[in-house]
Amino acid sequence: MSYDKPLPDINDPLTAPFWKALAEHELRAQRCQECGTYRLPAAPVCPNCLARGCDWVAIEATGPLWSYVVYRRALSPRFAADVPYAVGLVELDHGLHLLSRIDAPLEEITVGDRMTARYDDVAPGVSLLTWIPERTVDA
Amino acid sequence: MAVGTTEQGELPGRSADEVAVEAIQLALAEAGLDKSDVDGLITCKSGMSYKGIDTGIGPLLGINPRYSATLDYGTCNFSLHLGAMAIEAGLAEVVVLTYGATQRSDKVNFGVPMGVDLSGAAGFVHIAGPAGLALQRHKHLYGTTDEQFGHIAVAQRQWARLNPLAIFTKPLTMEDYLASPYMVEPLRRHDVTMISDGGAAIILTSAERAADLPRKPVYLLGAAETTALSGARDIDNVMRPWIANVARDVYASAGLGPADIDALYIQDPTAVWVLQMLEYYGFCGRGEGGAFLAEGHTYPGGSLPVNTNGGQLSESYMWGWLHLCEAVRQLRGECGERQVPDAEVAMYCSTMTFLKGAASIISTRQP
Repeated sequence: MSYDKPLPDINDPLTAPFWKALAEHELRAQRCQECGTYRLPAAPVCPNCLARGCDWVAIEATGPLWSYVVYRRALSPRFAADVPYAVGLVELDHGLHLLSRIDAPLEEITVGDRMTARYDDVAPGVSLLTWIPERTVDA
Repeated sequence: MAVGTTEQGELPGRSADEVAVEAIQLALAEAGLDKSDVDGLITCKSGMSYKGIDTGIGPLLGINPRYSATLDYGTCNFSLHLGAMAIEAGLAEVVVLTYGATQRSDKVNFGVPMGVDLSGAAGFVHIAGPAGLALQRHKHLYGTTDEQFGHIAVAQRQWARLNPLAIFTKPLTMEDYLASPYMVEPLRRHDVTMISDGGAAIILTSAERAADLPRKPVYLLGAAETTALSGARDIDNVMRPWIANVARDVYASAGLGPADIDALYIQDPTAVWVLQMLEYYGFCGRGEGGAFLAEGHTYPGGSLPVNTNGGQLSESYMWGWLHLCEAVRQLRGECGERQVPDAEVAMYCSTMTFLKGAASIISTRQP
């Protein structure tokens, strides 16, 4: 069955490198060429030094779960089939953080759990990142 | 300050601007003023639309005020402060602040992601998402329990039952609350604002002019704002620690402290905002909000009445406008069964989601 939930615009020039990296099963963020500040989500200028331009560098897609929620009611009909589903914010290196879907038994999710990325190819050229508990990878 | 509030709930077939004009009419009548006395108009956009702008409401009201402006998201604290600045600067003498909403009848959907990034693709929709993250983090850091947190919704329902304007007035016990299912865990339906239609207006003028008007004047004793415009890049953004700066500044502005507040109003798109602001405004220590709530202070008869109108959880969804209207009415002693005895100083605290905060201290005491 084809993927029928909202998809990102992978051709937006600002964020295209992010989506291209995900499609290659890698997490990348912008790094300022002047001051070295990392930024995620993408921004056209560095909010620290206001320099334009950036390098898209690989980020380790793992870190502790800062917090999470579980959608137990379909607030959007587009996600009705997924209910209940968890979404969580994971703390990354370089002062970055990334919020995405969590795939884990809902009762077992705990703040502070180490999470790691799984890349799901959902449409041609489009991959999404899903957080999974690191222990399920070790096992 | 004079206030006007329309019927709240469902107002089908009426535009947001029309509802705002009705509220203005009510507020003018209360103030004993005519629309021709109004020389300042500050409106507030209704939802994510072009409704509610000054150039739409002005023509309907049939006035040419010297000064007019529109705020994107007034929560009426920002509107109040802009109005006070206009008066202070001599740009206007009688300013009308207003907000009209028909978001219920318009069936506005708050579950639609705004632009699809990774969180939008993940189904992270509605204010309950980020608010739920903040509560889950609070529970993790401080051990806050569902029952402690539930006192916000339960207390506000008790207040709403004493308020004829309130929409949700069915009794809500702690047992009912705890037995109700999660909506966006750890938040239940009772912890999240309703969506409703309604209008509110506030008339603001100088202390000198107010002395000539029929009702007991209510004065603005202190005001403060802050922004956190770049805060979205901080991981603890949903905890909104910058609210503590508004608290510090509003108390300094009024020369008062938490112990001087007789009635407290906290804008509540979710109950999490109440938990956070009780702490940041110094009514209890950081992380102690749960225990403080469980002591019952915020209930009718408690030592710190909070949202005596029922708030957005139980009264109506007016972006906090009715909180300020209620505060004015409490200070005038007009609140009947829910009147806070001898209320002399009230504080209204609000935020624009994760981006801005504002607070006002108002009183029947002259500054």
